[in-house]
Amino acid sequence: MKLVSRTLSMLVVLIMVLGMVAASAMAEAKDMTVYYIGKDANSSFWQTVNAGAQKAAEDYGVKLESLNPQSESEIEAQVTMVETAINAGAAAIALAPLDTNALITACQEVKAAGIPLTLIDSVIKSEDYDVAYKTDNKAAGAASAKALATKVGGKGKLYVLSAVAGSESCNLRDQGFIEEIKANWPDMEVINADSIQNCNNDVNQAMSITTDVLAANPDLVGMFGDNNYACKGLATAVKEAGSTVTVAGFDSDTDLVAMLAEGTIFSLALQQPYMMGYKAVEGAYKLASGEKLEHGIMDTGFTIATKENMEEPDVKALLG
Amino acid sequence: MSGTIERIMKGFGRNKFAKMFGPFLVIIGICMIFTVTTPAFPTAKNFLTLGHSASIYVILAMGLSCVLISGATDLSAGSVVGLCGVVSAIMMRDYGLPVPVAVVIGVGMGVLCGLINGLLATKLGLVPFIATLGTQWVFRGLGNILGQGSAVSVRDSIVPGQPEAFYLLGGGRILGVPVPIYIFLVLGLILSFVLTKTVFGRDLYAVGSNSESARLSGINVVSTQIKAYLICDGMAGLAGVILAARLLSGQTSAGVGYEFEGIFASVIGGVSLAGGEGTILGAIIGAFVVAVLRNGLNLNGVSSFWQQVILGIIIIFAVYLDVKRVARQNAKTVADG
Repeated sequence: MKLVSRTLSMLVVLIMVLGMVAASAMAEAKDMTVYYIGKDANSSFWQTVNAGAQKAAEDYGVKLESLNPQSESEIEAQVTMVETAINAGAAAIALAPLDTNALITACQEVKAAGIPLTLIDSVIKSEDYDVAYKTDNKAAGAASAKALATKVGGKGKLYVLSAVAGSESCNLRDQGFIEEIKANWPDMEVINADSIQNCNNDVNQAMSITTDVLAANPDLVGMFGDNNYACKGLATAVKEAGSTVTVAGFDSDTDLVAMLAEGTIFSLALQQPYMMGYKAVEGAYKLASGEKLEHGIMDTGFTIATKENMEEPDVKALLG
Repeated sequence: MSGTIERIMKGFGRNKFAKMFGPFLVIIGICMIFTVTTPAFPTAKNFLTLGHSASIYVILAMGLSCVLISGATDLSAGSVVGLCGVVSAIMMRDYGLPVPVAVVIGVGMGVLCGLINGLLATKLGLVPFIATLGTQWVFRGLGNILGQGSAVSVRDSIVPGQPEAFYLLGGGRILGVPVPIYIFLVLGLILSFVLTKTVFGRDLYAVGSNSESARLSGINVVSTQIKAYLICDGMAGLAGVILAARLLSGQTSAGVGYEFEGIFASVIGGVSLAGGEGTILGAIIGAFVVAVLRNGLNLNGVSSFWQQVILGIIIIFAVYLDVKRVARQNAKTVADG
């Protein structure tokens, strides 16, 4: 009897001690708050990035605060979000900068406060960050150009429609696309290489612009829309006009996948949004726990999806 | 007091021809320039696609004109476009409701938004500018909540044939002419009739010119303004549903800033920001001035940045003309009085 009660009491004490240690260890991890600041609360792409960020936070047992501007034009709001994160005592910040210049000061403030900073999707025009996790947008633009040019037989006029002015990611995609055509396809030309139109992230405007461009240029063979809004409007207008223009797009959602399957869209350049979010928060956590990471840009990769490969498991997963 | 109204109505009739003629001349002038610079401009196909693109803005501008004529404003119309598109798409995707029912619910949502705006601006006595700035956020937020922040694709509907049926509303053609063009023509005729031939129309102008004297002459100012909001946001809701039909998907981000497109179109077409002035035909022409300009600039490959500058200058000019006209009228009223 005595033995039993002694063993029991020892067990209870042991469990309590273990519990306290575990609790304090967990509290320590949970005390660490990583701030994730995205680009657009209303885009499925950015919701996927956010989901990746959440998963990393769960895996490493840190608290994640997600802040998201209402649209990609709310640069001021994003600057304020960075300041909020600094003032709230963030252990680390994972930021998707909306503008290459406007966010520099905010990033300098983060570094001045000694807070580790990882960037997602875009970089800034200064070195005031630790690691950036992004798609090599230029390479993805070039790969889209190559796929499109091959498809149409390496001959003819092309048009590039951008989503929004001033976005580094979109500019790089356009540049990559245009440079690939200039460098390797002598019989092809991007007719608006010197004056890129943008649709202000509005599908309806993308549709109007495309309709007009098709009317003015009946000899067009291919068009490139550099994000989901631009290429959705573009593809819808091409289909309505009954045009044979080959459409290359960027990113993915339900509508775009349907148009890829029915052949309205020829190709979609798919990024790894989930991976970007995950890696950025993982990196932020590692830096905050004292680990050293090499300063620079980490390419998270991309895939060109077409009707032919869209059923392959890894492509299908990215199409969502 | 009825003398005041009579004078307003008479003045309206006298100026009508000159006021309509101005925007008409502008649109003809722009068309002539583009005809010279672009061979693709003066084709039947281009005018049809132009009308198709413009129809969303035309419908919005017609609704907004009613609110502007009543002396108020509605900054939430763009958000209503997004919200109603999402609502009708959800009705089809998640509840498998037949297309007509989903369309009616979408437009009904717009009318409900109009009721909220109207009550805030009249019963609660809030300044319409501020009240509808608030609801702009509320309606946009609700759209995002319902759509969970992303596009609601009607392609995901479980009912076979539904996407095709829905598409007819936004992209279908009858005798080669896109359906939205018929819709805005019919609505334009109805609204023109309502504004010029009915008691409500007369009350609307009277309230917009001088709500105090309208009230004293026995007009129910509150109900008149609420009705203007019902029309405005009902039309915005319809625009949203048509846009969703064309894309086969309700975009939560649809219509951002469209209230200004609609207000600008109205002002260019001679609707006064001070209230009491304007016609439905004017709103339609105003929307087409913007659409023709955009179309022609696109055809000529003018960059988005220069388009912004050009449209901005035109808007400033149109508002300047409106301000001058109001000042002239006030001076005249004082002289008459």
